Formats: sequence, C-alpha cells, structure tokens
Amino acid sequence: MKTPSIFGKLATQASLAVACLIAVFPLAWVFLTSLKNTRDATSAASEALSFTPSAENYLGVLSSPGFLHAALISALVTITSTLAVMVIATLGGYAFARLRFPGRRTLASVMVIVQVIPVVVLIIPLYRMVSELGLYDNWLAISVVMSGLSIPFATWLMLAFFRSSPIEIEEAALIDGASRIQLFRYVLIPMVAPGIATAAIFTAIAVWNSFLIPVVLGQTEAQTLTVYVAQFITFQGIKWGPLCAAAVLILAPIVLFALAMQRPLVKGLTAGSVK
Amino acid sequence: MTTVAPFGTGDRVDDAVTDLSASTVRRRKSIGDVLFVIPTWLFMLVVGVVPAALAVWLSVTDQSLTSGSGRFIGIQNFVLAVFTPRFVGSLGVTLVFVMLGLIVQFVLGYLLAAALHRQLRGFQVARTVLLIPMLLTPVVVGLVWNFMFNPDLGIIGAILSLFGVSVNFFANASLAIGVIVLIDSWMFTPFVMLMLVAGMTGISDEVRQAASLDGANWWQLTRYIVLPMLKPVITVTLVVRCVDIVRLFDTIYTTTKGGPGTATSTVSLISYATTFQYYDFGQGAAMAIALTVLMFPVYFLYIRLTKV
Repeated sequence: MKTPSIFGKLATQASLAVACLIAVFPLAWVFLTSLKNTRDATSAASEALSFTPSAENYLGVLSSPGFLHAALISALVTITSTLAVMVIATLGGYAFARLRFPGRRTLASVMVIVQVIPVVVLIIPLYRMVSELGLYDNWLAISVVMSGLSIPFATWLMLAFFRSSPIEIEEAALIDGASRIQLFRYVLIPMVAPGIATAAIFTAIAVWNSFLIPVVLGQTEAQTLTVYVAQFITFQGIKWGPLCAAAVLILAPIVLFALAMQRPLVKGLTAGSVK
Repeated sequence: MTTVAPFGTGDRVDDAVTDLSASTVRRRKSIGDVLFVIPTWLFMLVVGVVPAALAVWLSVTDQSLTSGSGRFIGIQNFVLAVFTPRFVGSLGVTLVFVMLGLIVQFVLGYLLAAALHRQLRGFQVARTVLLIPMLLTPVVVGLVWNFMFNPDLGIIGAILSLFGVSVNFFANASLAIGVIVLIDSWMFTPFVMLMLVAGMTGISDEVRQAASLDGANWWQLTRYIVLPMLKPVITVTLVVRCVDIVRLFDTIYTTTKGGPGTATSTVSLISYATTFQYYDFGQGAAMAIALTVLMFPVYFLYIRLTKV
C-alpha cells in the first residue's frame, strides 16, 4: 500500500475528532445545564456560557425522597440481578462450552428468542402474571424478570470465555481426581474471572438502564430511577435544571465504568462475532 | 444497550463443542450435566416461554377493560387491532426507522471504522469516547435530546436561528422522524463501527497490498476486497441492529411520544398504549404477536447465525 499522505492522515484524525465531539457534546451540555440555577437554565441559549455555577440542582435532587427511594430500588434491582446472572451464566456458559447435555439446541434457541423478541410481547403477560401473584410494585419481581432477560447475553459471553480457555488444564485436574466442585472452585473460576467481570458489567448496565419492565411492573413503591426521571416530562413546564442533575447522576456511573473498563467492554460487545 | 450472541459462519453447533465427554477423562454422557442449565431453563420458562404462550392466549381472548370476560373470541382482536390502518401505519413507521437507521449507521459506522482501523495517533482515545453513547440509559438519552431540541431553550434551535431558521422539531412529522433516527444513530453508529473494526483486523494486509500494487484505488479496494471479506460481520451487525430498532421504545417515549400525530408511533408504542392506557390486553397482545410473527424470518436468521 502506498504511504498515506499527511493530508489523508489529518483528515482521518479530524473525522474521528469530530465524531468524538458529537458523542460528547450532549453530555457536556446537560452537565453544564445541571450546574445552573433556575434563571440561568431558562435564559436564551446564546448566553449559555455566562452563568455562576451552583450546586442547587444537585442538592435539590439528592434531598428529594422520591429520587433517593428510586436510587435505592435501582441499586437493589441491579445488584441482585447481576449476582444471580453471574452465577447462572457461568454455569450455563460452562455447560454450553464443555458438556453435551440433552436439549442443548432447544435451550439455545429459546435463549436467542428471549434475547430478540420485542419486550412488549413479554411485558403484557408478565404484568398479568406478576399481578396474579401479588408481586405488583415489588422490586423482587422486576429483579427476577430483568435477570431472566439478561441471562442469554451473559451466557454467550461466558461461553466465549470458556471456549477460549485451554481444556487441557481441566482434563489434568480431573485426572488428578478433582471433583466437579473442586474443578469449578480452583480451576475454572480463576481462569474465567475476567469473563465473569465482563458479564457482570454488561448485566449491571442493562438492568440499570431498563425502563419498560420497571415502568409496567411497579410505578410507586418499586419505582426505579429510569421511571422516576421519565416522569419529569409529564409535568407542566419541565424543570430542566433538576432534570439535568438527575440525568447526570444516572449516567455518571456508566460513563465512569466505560472509561475505566473500555477494553473488556469492547471485547464483550464483539465477543464471538468475529473469528 | 445492544447485545450480541456468539455469531459465526463456519462450523456448526456440535462440531464446535470441545467436549470433555469425548475426551479420555469421561466417556459416558451424563444426564447430570443437565443440572448446570436447570437455573437457565427455569428463568427462560418464567420470563420467556410462559409469557410468550400467555401472550398468544391473550391475543385470542376477550381481555378489554369494559367487556373483558376472558373467553375465546378467535381472531377478533386481530381484526379490530391488526388489520387496521393504524397498525399498518405503525408498521410503516417501524420500517422507516429500520431502513433509515441501518443506512445512516452503516455508512457512518463504516467510515469511522476505516478511520479507526488505520490506528493513527489518538485512536484509542477515540474508541473509548465513542464507546460511551451505546452504554447510556436510553430513557435519559431521550430526555437529553429532548432538551437539546427544545423549541424555546434547546441549543440546536439556537444554533439554527443564527442562520435565520426557526423550526419546531417535534411539530413536523419528517423532522420528528429525523430526530428519532438521529438519536438512535448517535447511540449505535459506534457499535457498528466497533463490529466492523473487529472484522477489519481479520483481513490480512497482504491482500490489500496486492490489490494496491495492481493499481486498485480506494473505492475499488473497498468495493471488491474489503466489503466482500467483511460480509459475515456486516450481516451479523445489521441483523442485530434491525432487531433492536424494531423494538425501539425508550428513546421515543421520552422525546416525541409517538407524535406529532402518529408520525413516530412504532408498533411497540401503540401496543403499549393499547394495553396500558386503554387497558385492552387482548388487542395489545394481538399487535405484539403480529409484529413478532412478521419478524420471524429475521429471528430465524439470527438463530441460524448464532454459533452456540
């Protein structure tokens, strides 16, 4: 290939820089607005940069019982679902990678269907099922459903990690007389620990971001942050300052994770798709 | 967030199993192996199989708030809700989102991937930054763009007014469609980019160099070498995106809410509204089932591409 020209290099870098600016701009804008008081937030956009930063919005949001309760529910749902999915996906991923159990094809197909089916199909009957069981507005119900919906992707991720780890070590352990539990405890789990961490991050983000399931299965007692924040727009005259502060607080953990763990995230997103 | 199954084009299923039972250690097939997937089966039954079956049942029974008796009424829900201009219209809206979204995201994603693949100075920073949008909370992303496009306060309106343009993006049907496509593309063009970059690393430089020596220009190289070699990755990426755009809900819900009129009302939105605002579970379920049935070819392709 001929040596790329300086101009070509610059154009390439410039286009990536523009893409990055477009990716970041809305977030920066919302962060900026979150630091404004009510008057500055509603002033014309041409004066957007002339304001005195204030923590008013954050103090307001963080002292609101509705926000704190929703944050607690979101955290509970996210943590319980993630823990459940980590265990189940590790077992399932191992089985799909190493064992020839009956019903393998059927289970795989069912899991893919759960992964792709429009959530509205499932949410209508799930609402009826949850209501019949008396679990409406109970965070546990949201957690169970979100775990179920997250299991397929996490399992495929674990499958990819088990497949790429050497089978000889397992065979050696089994020849040495290790039991299944010992095999898992001392050989497999340490070997696929990065995979488990990756699956956990993806599950946590997916559950934290979920909206349609929580909004249908619990509006008040089990209100999550996404449901809480979506309510802002139904009010007359949106208070953009507090809304932006709430948005920043919801997005911040994800952005921090993305910056800290970009390698496993990139690997996880494209896992198994390319040989 | 987009999720990807382990895809592959090569060896099928059972050949791909690196199997302990086939090794010297354990020769017999063990029924006990099923124990490993019992929790998975339980969850799939509770959140997948049972609700899907129940949805089919709801769609053929009378489940409206006023007259709901739960008795079997055959295809009446489908007659009242699916074979209607409203449903067909929402199907059209969904299709428009899929077509526009795929075109925009593929073209931009490919160009960005080609740029990233050159691995010039700073490409890792770009990859990290571009990873962020696709991981963000869709509901909040919708609110953020709602704010950006706000007719009174939005920065986009302010920038346009510098050029003497004054438009309300949420009052004009085509502009509202454009806003939704823009938001989805803002989030997921980088996803397409990452998938294509991963595919490009699999193409050896020698092939390119050979074509280059033979005098192929950039377009010929792309058209006859890179795109054909990327075909498996492109197929997977577009199928995944198609499936996700079809069930797009959160970002529409917090921006246009399906409006103006029904300009951005997708099947998911009208099915949700029919069920949880008009409390007609039967008709809502019928719409959702109809969408799923129409999507069967794509789902079937998805399963076939999955290398489990």
